[in-house]
Formats: sequence, C-alpha cells, structure tokens
Amino acid sequence: MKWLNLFIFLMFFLNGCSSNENDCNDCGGGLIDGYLYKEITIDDVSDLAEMNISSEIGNCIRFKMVESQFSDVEVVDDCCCIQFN
Amino acid sequence: MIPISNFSIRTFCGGYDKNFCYLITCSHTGYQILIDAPIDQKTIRPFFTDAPLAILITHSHHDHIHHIDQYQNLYPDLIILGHQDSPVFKKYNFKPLKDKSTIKIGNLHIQSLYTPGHYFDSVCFKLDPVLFTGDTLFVGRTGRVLSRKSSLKNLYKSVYAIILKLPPHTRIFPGHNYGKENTITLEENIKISPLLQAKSFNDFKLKMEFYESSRIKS
Repeated sequence: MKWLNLFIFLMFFLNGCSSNENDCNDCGGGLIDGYLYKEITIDDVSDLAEMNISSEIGNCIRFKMVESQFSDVEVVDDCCCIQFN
Repeated sequence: MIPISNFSIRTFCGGYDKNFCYLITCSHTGYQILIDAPIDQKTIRPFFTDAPLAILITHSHHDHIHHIDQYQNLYPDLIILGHQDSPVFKKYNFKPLKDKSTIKIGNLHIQSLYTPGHYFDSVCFKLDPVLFTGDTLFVGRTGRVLSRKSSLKNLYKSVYAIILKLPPHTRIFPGHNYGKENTITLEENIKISPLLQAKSFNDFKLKMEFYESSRIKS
C-alpha cells in the first residue's frame, strides 16, 4: 500500500511537471539560436509581404533580425506564452 | 537578491547618477542577462555563474551604456539588445528590437515595449510580474524630457497608454535610484506620484512644468 501511494504521488508530481513544460516551451529556438518572437502588428505587414510571408495581424512569428530587417521568418502557433496587453 | 518564481533579480547601484543595473538569473537554466551597463564589470562579474548571454539596453543615454565595451570585450558572444533605431550599438554584437518582440532566454520570456519620450529609443522590458522601466518611469515620478530627442507627448503616451495599462500589481525596476524605495508596484506608484495622476496631456504638461520649476527652486 505504501508503494502504491508513493507511485500515485510520483505520477501526480511528474504529470504536473510535464504539463507545465508543454505549456510554455514548445515554440522553438530562443535568443541563443538568434531567434526572437513577436505578435504581428500593422507595422509589420508590409515588411512580411515583401518577403512573401502571408500573415495576419495578431499571429505570432519567430524571426531573426538583420540590420533592422526581418530574416528567417516563420509563423508559429504561439509567442512563447507571452500575454499581449 | 529578489527571487520571483522562475527567476531572480540582483540589483547593483552605482555609475554616473545612482544608476541601477540588474542581473537576472533564470532559476531553471542558470542563464543570466543584464539590464543596462552603467556599472563596471569588476563589481558584477563575481555574481556571474558563467558568461552572461545578453545585455538589454533601456535607452542609449551614456550613463546606461557606459560599460558595454568592457562586457563585450570580456564576452565576445554577448548579445546587445536595444531598440532598432539606436545608432550607437551597431559596432557591437547587436540585435535590434522591434516593439513587442519576445526574447526567449532559457525558460524566461521577456517582452520589449517601445516607450519613447524620455529618449527616442527608450524601451521597457516586461518579465511578468516585473517591468524594467529605464528612465521612462521611476519610483515617485516619470522620467524627464531634457534631450534633443526627447518628447513630452511621447512620454505621456508611453506612460499612460502602455505602462499604466499593465496590471496594477506589476512591479517596476527603474533605471535610477531616485525614489524612497528601489522598486514599487504600479498601483502604489500612482498613489505617490502626481505625474501619474494627470487627467489629460495638458494636465500632464502642467504637472511636469510644476515639477521642473520645483527642482530649480530646491
């Protein structure tokens, strides 16, 4: 019985950890890989259109910046859990 | 040192005019970054666990960037992040920031908020529930608009339309030690700051004029 309780406790603990990880860390590379993230605003649309990237305001992109220009842009599902106010 | 859930902040005070420099450490990965570079690396280096990854620059006034060279020479891979229009950073390993970019460092997600006014390239950095405000907002008052590239109208917009729209419990970490405390929540700061109680831009302008004239008298 003691082992069963320990097993249930560990499962609960491990599940709790993994769901936390999944919530916020699935968005890909970070600053170490040279990537930034942002929500697309009206100011970004023309720059992205020039790069033939179809995008909607409010979507999120992962990108690099080269001399104030977007580079390596990819539309991603979320912006690493950032809540935009 | 202030531990805040998944990160900690160590505060250093020094530089030209009671400048603050903040060392942020991700509790999960140990990655470290600095906010601004006003203080000699000799003071801060003992607190680095490894090479820091980046310096986030709140604006390009000299007192906030004075020691970038030191850090960049010591750590060539160090990334300098600042507003995309800042001209002085081009010689460094510089990564320009657009408004509302998210910087992912380990498990930390820091958002840049473009807040011009005190200076044209002022940026605040949001790391919930904390906001690093540079010289845009201090404990007890807003920043001032003394430079050629300052703008009172932009400062008003940045403070009232961006910063004060954040949750009231947001805790600000300013660029200078000008207040009675090092840090304060937005809601407490509003209570003690006449410049945060303006009803309109004209009211803000009057309050700023009154503040500046009071400084001259004192």
